[in-house]
Amino acid sequence: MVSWRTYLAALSLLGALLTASHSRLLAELLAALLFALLTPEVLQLAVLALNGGWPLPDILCLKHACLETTGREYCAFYGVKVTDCRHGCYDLSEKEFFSLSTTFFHVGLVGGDAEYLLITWNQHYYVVIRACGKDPYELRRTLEKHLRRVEEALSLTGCSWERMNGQSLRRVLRPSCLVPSGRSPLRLAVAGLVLLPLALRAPFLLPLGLAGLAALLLSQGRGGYTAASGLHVYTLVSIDSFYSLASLSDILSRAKIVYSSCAKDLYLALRVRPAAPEEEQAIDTEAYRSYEVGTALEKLSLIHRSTKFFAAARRRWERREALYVVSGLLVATQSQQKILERIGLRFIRLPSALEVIS
Amino acid sequence: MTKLLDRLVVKKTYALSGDLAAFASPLAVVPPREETSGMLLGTDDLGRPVFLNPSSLPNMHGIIVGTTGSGKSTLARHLILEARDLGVSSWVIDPHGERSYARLYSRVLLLGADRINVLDTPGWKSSEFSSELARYIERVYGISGARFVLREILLKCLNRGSLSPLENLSEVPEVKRIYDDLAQIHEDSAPSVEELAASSICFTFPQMSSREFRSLAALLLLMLLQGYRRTLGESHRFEHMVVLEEAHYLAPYLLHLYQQTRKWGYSVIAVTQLPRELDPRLYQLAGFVVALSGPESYVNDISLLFSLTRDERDHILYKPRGAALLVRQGDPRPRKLFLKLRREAFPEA
Repeated sequence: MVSWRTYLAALSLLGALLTASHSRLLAELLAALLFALLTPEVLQLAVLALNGGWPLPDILCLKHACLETTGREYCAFYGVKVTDCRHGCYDLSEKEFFSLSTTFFHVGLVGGDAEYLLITWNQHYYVVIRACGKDPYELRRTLEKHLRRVEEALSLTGCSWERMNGQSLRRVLRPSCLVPSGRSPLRLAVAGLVLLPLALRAPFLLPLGLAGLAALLLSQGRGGYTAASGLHVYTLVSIDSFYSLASLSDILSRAKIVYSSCAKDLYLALRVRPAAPEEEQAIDTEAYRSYEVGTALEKLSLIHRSTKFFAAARRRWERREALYVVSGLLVATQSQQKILERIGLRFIRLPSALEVIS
Repeated sequence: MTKLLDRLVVKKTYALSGDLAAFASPLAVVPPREETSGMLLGTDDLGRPVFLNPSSLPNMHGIIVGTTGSGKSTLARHLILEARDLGVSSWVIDPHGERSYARLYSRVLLLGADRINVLDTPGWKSSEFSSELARYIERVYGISGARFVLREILLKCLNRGSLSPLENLSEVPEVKRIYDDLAQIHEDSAPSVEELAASSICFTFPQMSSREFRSLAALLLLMLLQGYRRTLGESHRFEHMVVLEEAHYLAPYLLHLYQQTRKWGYSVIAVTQLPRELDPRLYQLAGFVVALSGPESYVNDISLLFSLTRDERDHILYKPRGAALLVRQGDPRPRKLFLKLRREAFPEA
């Protein structure tokens, strides 16, 4: 599945090639866009250079909710903290664990007009619901509706919970493992002085100039955050088990590893959205297409790719597993990241992962 | 701008609910809820401190079970010290006369040499006390059918405030035996239970005393305390603790105690070696049970009382000392406990 960013980058490349002979400036701009699209890390580095950390918007926490203003919209957060579960991976059988866990996701995370943040922090578990809109009353109704559904799911799973107040939400959305970086006017001035001549005098460095400019704009009005000492910020790149027909005992044994080795002193935030029907369909389509193309061209890599997608498709149909679109932030030590990698969660160090909790 | 940033920098991936179950389900993350205050016992398998909180337990009666050398007396001493920090006074009734217990107390009574007044029974009607005592004496001394005769004799003793009615019948060997034992415990001018209950005391026995004597003395102490606590009125606060070593000697009376004494502000912690030595109903009534490590057949017996997972079984099977399972009423999930006991609780300290 090719991302929209790759399509846009290809178009930029084509545009740059076509316009090069007519307008050098336009071609350079398109090349800069291509560069920024293919290597967003440059943009991220520029943002970090300016902020000393990744910028996150300020949140205003009220009695029961937190609010974030984005342009003309409000984004509000409601949340629950799971206080106890009658059972866990430590005493459930494989089938019971799988059945209860998937019940939680299937009943609680129905999506639509909200996103879910599943946050694991220091052996605590939080479900935060985020919804955006212009009408605060409508927003409240939406969040209440989703929160009740999450509570119903927790109840079915045998868990007790408590609703989080604004201050608790703030502590979870801006956890103490992330420390605010000082916004130094000096750093801004130095970065501006360096970037401006580069952009004006050395056209081949225009992309850097653009990236710096974008970074200035993006960082405006936001405080930077970085991981506390000894920890790193990682972003979730892929979940390897997605492509395999993992047995229930495998799922339980991975859960036990997380329970005993990783859950402590670890901050893991997953932004989860139930996949749209067309995204679900895309899994099947990708399996068929890569198989057809692979067999036609006798390309083993494509046939192998098709088997991976077939495994995912089988799980969807045979086990009735729901599909979710997930982005993840991990703030942990390197050893914890390695353990998670061994159980199939691939993370890379990327400060921009903090966007998950904004 | 935020949306642009989100689209540009946040990587998204697909996951099925089975994938999320392994690491993002509450069942994979949330450990059983743990107390944050009370009497510290140690840490659990996740490194969290584990407490016994008297205020959150329906009763503070407890059972410590473990084979020889597993550390049950050390744990009991640790509990005594922890309780002391909470302002709770304690008695220990120790048939072995261990120095390690005596070391913790400023007042030690060697029953047989030191006496108590067992005929001063506050909180009891004389008939009630004699009935109860006769019932258990019948069992302790194995003189079945003698309960009602004994009741009458003991009632006379209580009414006269002297053991002479018993002494007068001492030509009967069974009665003589009871009289001899009671005479070793009782003295009219000795301190009454009212005085004894006001302080922390270690009750011990001579090394070569009989099992019947030990049982009778322990029984009398518990009965007297029970009556005295009743005179103080109902109290749900944890004010006094009795550690009863070799509790299986008194298994029948313990059942009665565990059923009755919840509301009188004191608790009995029964220390015993094997789970089968106590009535299974005691495990159902106790506010908490600590099972220390032991061999396989012992662990199998523990598994009959509580549903244990393989991990929990292994925890007390493969670790010779310092490992225990804690089960509290209201929370049937056993905690894998790594005991962290005070230095003073150890015999060698």
